[in-house]
Amino acid sequence: MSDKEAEFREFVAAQMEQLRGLAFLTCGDWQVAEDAVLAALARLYVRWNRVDKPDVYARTAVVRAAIDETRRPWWRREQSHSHAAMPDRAAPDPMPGVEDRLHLREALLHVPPKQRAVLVLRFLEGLSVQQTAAALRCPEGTVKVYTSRGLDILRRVLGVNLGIDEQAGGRHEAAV
Amino acid sequence: MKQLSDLMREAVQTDAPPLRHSVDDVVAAGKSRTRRRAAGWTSLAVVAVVAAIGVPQAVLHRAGPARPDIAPATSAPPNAEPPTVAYTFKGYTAGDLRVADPNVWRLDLEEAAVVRGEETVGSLDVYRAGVDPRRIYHFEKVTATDPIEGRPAVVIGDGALRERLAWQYAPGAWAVAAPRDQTPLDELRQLAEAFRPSRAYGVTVPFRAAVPGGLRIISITTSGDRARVTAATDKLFRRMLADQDRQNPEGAYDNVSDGLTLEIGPSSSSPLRPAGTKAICTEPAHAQPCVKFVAGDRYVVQAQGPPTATRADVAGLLDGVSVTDPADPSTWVPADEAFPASALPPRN
Repeated sequence: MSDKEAEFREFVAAQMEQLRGLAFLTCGDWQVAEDAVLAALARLYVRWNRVDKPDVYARTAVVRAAIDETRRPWWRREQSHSHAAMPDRAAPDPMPGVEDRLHLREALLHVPPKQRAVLVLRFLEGLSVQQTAAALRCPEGTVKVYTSRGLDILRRVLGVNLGIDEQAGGRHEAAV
Repeated sequence: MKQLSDLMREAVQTDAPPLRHSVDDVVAAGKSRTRRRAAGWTSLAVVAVVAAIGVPQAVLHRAGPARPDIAPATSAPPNAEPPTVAYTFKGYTAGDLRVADPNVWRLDLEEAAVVRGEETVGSLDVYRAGVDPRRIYHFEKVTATDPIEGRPAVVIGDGALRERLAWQYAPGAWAVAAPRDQTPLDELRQLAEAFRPSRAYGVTVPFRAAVPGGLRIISITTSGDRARVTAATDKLFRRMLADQDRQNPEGAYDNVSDGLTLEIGPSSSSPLRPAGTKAICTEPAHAQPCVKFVAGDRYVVQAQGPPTATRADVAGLLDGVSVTDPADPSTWVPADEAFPASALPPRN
């Protein structure tokens, strides 16, 4: 095994689970999310020697693949999605915190895919407006608008006010 | 009050199922991709074709032996003129197998089901002139076999899984009989020998729609009373046309970014329920897709536009859609009547 391959393996072992989480919140299906991660990392393998920031490359590729998945025709989605998809409705809370998470996932499904990706990149990954714009290859203004619209939808669906706290470093924090 | 970021982290850390793939799987997929790129191919395109034809992904990892000389897919096709939205063959029977009328039209091919009795056992993919399935299947074993009707033929795959038969049905134009099972080569050869192109006839769909300018149709698929039309941006359309094998450099045929997908199917296939005659979008907040229930609410038309399209744009498009009887193909209309000329492949 070459040093480069060993480096790649180490990167994958460290990042795969986190990338799958990113894809899951973007597309709403664990199986599809993992497929998106596998495809993105296979592309990264080919470019491993030429990519300066593999974590940035992988994040962008995974989010874009996950967004694409949300655009598939509904009858294709019905055929291929796993039973691990997000539930339609939040179940009663048998354990503290479970209902919060289900509500959040359900609410995210009401956010259009690109806005959802912006929210996930900013609040799960902690990216700045500039970094999110680079990841999604869109203007910074679009990221700001999508953040605002996405948060509005979450507020409406969750039925609560989201506390917004502009923190240092450009991080846009919200609380529920 | 919990932070949104904490909730998101909990959502992906607490309820995550075990990973199905290992680091070894990722490396194997990367190596497979490297081999495909080395042969001058965009692997996404390969995956697209593989998906369309139903090849198990596992075969991607098998290295093939030496194969017939094939021109690399790096230059413009010999016939760069886009195809008209028409089918060029009809269903026929060959022994125990029956080829249905084609039901898939794309820039790169036309496809029909191959049926034995009542069971679909594979597909017949008739590629446009210049598209070479030996490049598309280059990751598999390709073996020259006896000519068909005096033209070159190859077997793709091996007996351990299943074998496809590819042959030139016209100079520079290939077709592939791709079974889902281990249909004997003799039967595939019989099917190939009976194939004849027909006079071109229009692809029909069960609705009319004012596809916006700047979008071109790249695929139409019908299945029973369902139909799906995909249009790509002019830019992507031109890129696909410039690709020797007419593949989508950005992904699969049915996964076009910034494009438009229009579909019609039974109402039961939509998560939405009829609410008047106007187009509606997923409530409360999805911008897209939007749907319109038609034919007495028995069917639903769905539109998924580019991310830049507003909900009003998409709903407006749907409000302009008119349908025939999806259950009666004799009422369907040819694509050149169903869509504006700007949405059809340009004529030189």
